[in-house]
Amino acid sequence: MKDSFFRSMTWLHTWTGLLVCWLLFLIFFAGTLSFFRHEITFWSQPAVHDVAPQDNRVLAQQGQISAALQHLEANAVEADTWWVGLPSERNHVIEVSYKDKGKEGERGQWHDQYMDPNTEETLGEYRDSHGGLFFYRLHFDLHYMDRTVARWLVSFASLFMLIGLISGVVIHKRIFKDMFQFRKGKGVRTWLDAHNLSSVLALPFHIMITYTGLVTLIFMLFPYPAMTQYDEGKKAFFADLSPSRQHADITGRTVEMLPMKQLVDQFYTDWPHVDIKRVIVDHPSDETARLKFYANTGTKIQDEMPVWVYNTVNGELIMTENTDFSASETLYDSMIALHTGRLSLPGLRWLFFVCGIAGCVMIGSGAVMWAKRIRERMKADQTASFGLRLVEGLNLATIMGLPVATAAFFFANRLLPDSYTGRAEAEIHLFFLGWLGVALMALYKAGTAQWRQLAQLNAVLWLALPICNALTTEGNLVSYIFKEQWVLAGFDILCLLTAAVFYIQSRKLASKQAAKPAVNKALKGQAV
Amino acid sequence: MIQLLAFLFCFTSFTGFALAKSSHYKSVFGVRVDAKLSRHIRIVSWVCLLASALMSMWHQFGYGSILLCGYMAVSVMCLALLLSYMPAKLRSLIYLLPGLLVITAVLALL
Repeated sequence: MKDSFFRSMTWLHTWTGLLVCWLLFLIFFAGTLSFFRHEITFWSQPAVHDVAPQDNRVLAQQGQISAALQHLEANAVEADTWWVGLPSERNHVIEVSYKDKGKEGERGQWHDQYMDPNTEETLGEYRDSHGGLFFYRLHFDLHYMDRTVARWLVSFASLFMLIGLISGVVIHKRIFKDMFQFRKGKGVRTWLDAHNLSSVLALPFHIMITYTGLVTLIFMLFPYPAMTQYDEGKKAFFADLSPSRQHADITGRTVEMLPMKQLVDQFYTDWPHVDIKRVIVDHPSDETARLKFYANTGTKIQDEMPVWVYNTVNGELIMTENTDFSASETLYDSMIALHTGRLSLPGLRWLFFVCGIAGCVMIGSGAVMWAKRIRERMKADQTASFGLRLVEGLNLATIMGLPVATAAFFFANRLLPDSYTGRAEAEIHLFFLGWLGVALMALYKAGTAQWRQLAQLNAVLWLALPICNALTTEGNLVSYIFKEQWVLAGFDILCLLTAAVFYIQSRKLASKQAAKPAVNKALKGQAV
Repeated sequence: MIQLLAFLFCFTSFTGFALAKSSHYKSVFGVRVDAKLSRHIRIVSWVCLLASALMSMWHQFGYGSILLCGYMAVSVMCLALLLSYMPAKLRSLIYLLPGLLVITAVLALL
């Protein structure tokens, strides 16, 4: 019984893992990069690199909000929404955006600009780029497909991952005994050790991130309680859960709004010392216009920001939300906060990142190990089956292709001209074109030589990225260090580290390739 | 500084857990660990882990507990790499660890 239980658990672990490992790798990879979403966006916008952070950030907010809203009042009267993002610990500039009223049945277009918080003047040359937002959306919406379908796919993959994790813990009998074990240079055993080590060292993270990942989409996966409780189903449930997010339709009847400065001053009289993260005005100048202040939650394990909603005509406070949670709301919201990691200061953010990389290693090593095991069991004269070649091709395409694609995305950000129409989309197309190129090569042949070539390509690309950055912007690694711009310096250092890792990989693969003919010769010699 | 101290305690704790195992002790010190020493190392490791938990949760319980999970992950990763690739360097580090802990503790108190 015991034997068959372990055998069936091993079977479950192998097949649930193998079936979705490539999609999971993409989800983990994009999710891991998303922990640095704002930092990537910051890197993507060279115009804001030299804006100095403020010492009295919270104290300066009142004036900044007024200035930003007055700027929008002057420049975007006809807009559907005004959006102001205040400087935070991770973002030094004021983001000033507005959304057009879309044509009938269409969503309006967003227009973004940055303001210098020190001078309250708009910064030119906003670069049309999604930056870190691309990886964030890729993590759960994938791309080139319907969002709902993508989210269902991601949810299935996550569910399989959770099953893989639990069955993995069951079949890994020596979880504490072999905790630190990594035997190098022992073929499949080394891959197994890498798989076990990367799983066990961040096991709490892996379980947390997978489980809370499913929780983020729980209302899509399990809408039945809401559908039973509310006559109008999920829509009514969300309206009840989060009234501040409900948008009344524009009536078209224009009203005279109170001056924005007066409304902001009134908020600060009522709620002084609040650290504000975002201010939104829905439907400015329409009779349904609402002014919303969102507070920064800082390091609290809370994802939903407290919000204050004001009537812009008479300055009346209509509602406050997310200031007092029920037990179930706290549980749900804290899980989302854990998953998104928005609460993290740089130290914890890096720990999240390292654990995310461990997740990628876990998935990648598991997939490689499956193919290696099958190859090892094959007889000398046996040819590889279609399934094995497919798995090997997909492994190479995913594990080595995603870094190539990511580098292509970053190069596109630096090299595409600012005036290029549809620039942001073009960056994304280049990401997928880069990946497609590697995938075609990998599916044609996926031997040691191809792994080595792609490792070399990655090493060259990631080494060239800081150089390209230095040539196309006004800063470089040395100036970043002297000016203490640690985010930009960190980006360059991480590129160089990635290049170094791929270089080491290519060297190891070269020595492995060189060893192979020698072994074959020796074997032939013995046979003679 | 208190967080650095918490990480160092966590790393010390997991170094202890690794050294309490015969194979790892041998790869670092060249001899097998006897049962009594192994038990003592394990007790000290648990105390260090408890100290690390208390320190990381000193200011915020929730945030600190997430940090502790991260410290554990990084500690295990560093140890596994050191044990496989540089066991001799790990031996030097083990001798340095008490000193590092004291210096960091003094700096944290200041």
